[in-house]
Amino acid sequence: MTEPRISDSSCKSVFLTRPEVAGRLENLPYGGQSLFSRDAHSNRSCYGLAVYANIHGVMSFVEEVAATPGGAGIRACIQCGVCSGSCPMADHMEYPPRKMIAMIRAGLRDEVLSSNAPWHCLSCYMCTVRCPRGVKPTELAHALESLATEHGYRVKDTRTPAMYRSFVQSIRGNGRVHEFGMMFRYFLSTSPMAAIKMTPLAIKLFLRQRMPLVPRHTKGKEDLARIIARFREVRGNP
Amino acid sequence: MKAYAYFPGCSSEASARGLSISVDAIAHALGMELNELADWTCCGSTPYGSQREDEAVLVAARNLAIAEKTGLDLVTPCSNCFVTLSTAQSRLKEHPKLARQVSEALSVVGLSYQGKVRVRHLVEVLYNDISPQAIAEKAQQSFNGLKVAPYYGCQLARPDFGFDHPESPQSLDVLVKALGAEPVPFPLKNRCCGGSMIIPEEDMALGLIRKILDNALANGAQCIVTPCPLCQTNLDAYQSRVNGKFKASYNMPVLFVTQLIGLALDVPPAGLGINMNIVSPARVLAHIKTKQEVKSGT
Ligand code: SF4
Ligand code: SF4
Repeated sequence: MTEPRISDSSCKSVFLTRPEVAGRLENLPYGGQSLFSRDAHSNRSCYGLAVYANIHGVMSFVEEVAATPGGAGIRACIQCGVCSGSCPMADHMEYPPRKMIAMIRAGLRDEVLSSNAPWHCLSCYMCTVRCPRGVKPTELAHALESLATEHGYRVKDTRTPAMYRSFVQSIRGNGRVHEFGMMFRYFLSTSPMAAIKMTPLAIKLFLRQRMPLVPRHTKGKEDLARIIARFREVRGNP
Repeated sequence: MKAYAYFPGCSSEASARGLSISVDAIAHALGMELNELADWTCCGSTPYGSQREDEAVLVAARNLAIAEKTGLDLVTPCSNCFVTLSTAQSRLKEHPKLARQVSEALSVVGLSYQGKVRVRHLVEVLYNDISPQAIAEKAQQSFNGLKVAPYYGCQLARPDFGFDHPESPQSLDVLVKALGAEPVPFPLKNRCCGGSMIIPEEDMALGLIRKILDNALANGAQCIVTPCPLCQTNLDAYQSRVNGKFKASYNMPVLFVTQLIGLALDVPPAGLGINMNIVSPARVLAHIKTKQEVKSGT
């Protein structure tokens, strides 16, 4: 049976609109009503959703995240907020790291994966250094970006995904990042006007031999392409 | 002469050419034989991880496998490459299934990776293998009390792979001092410069860069010295855009620490790529005296 991934922010509605779930809940103590009590839902930690996921054999969002290399530490979080308090980008994130983790546990998949927060992470590792529980919010951000990309989420209020795409196209095309080509492609795909604003700086860099227009050829690029092709085959992820 | 495998990183071919040129210029004099990795490709990079987290590990592993064949430590001057390559190594150790799949993919081109390479940052090698003392002994020129803000950036001492204190690192301070310069107190010495966010979200990054420039200036620095290619580009090339946005007038030279070392070793500035800097480093050059002059007080 193909079940949607759990992402509904109101789990009560998920439960009550699905007779097959309601039927199973009858077997739980109090007919499953305790799942919807205020307590169980404080912080939307959603015990209910976890049970729902269990019944249907659907991976809950927190399990999905914890299964990625970068998200492996997420269960250890104690919601202390040190990460958000240390983050230089917290003001520019829709949800700073602590809140993001709470949301993942609440199963708010769509909200998390379409948010700009992971994309505005600078990978500065301040949160990771200070987290008392070894959660590594930096790596979590990378994992969330990767999940959002894999599942085709459109991310609001940020141009970073477009820039990262151009960056990776440059690597796949040249084996190495060719900065000029990467920036050219990025500005073309987002805002050619911004490119005009950047021209004086680009000229300064060019004149100082810091912006070669043509990428250097490397033989490694063909090898890299073969390795990547084989890797995707092996992982069954074309 | 100690031999190393050397990973320059993509920025060495463009925005950070000053870094690779100056590394090449000082390596021999300091007793390092840097063997550039044959046909290296991108380190795996943060943007790659945002598209395919697992594949970024594979991209890193190709370089690690080539380095492993040399039997040498793998040294990179790029702080981001350092973190990316090190992260990939821990991933391969912690996720045996991923490691098997990576091995299988590498075997297509006859490579294999056993996890034996030691990935090192150039600053750590300068500090531990070469030593600030030996650098001081080899230096012919002195910066004669030039006030320097040692800017580590965020990647060098963080996360777990760093060799220095993650929030209050000292290695760069010690190196700068060995050259006769005076490191100033610099509370934002390892705050992030905005990294590659400067391209898609320039306004946010300019705010971060401004704080760093401001903090260096407020502490009396006459220049900033950094090992990191992204930091140098952001602080140097984007300084005029900070000035434009915040109606400021920063005029702070930003040098690579390897350029500073090269000057002390009496390498001519052009041989260190100093002419590639955007904010003029003239005031740094004007401060240089021979050790003799410093001693005799002239
Ligand atoms: S610092 Fe660590 S434990 Fe505290 S909220 Fe952030 S991730 Fe959770
Ligand atoms: S690594 Fe990202 S989330 Fe953590 S403090 Fe830095 S910018 Fe914030």
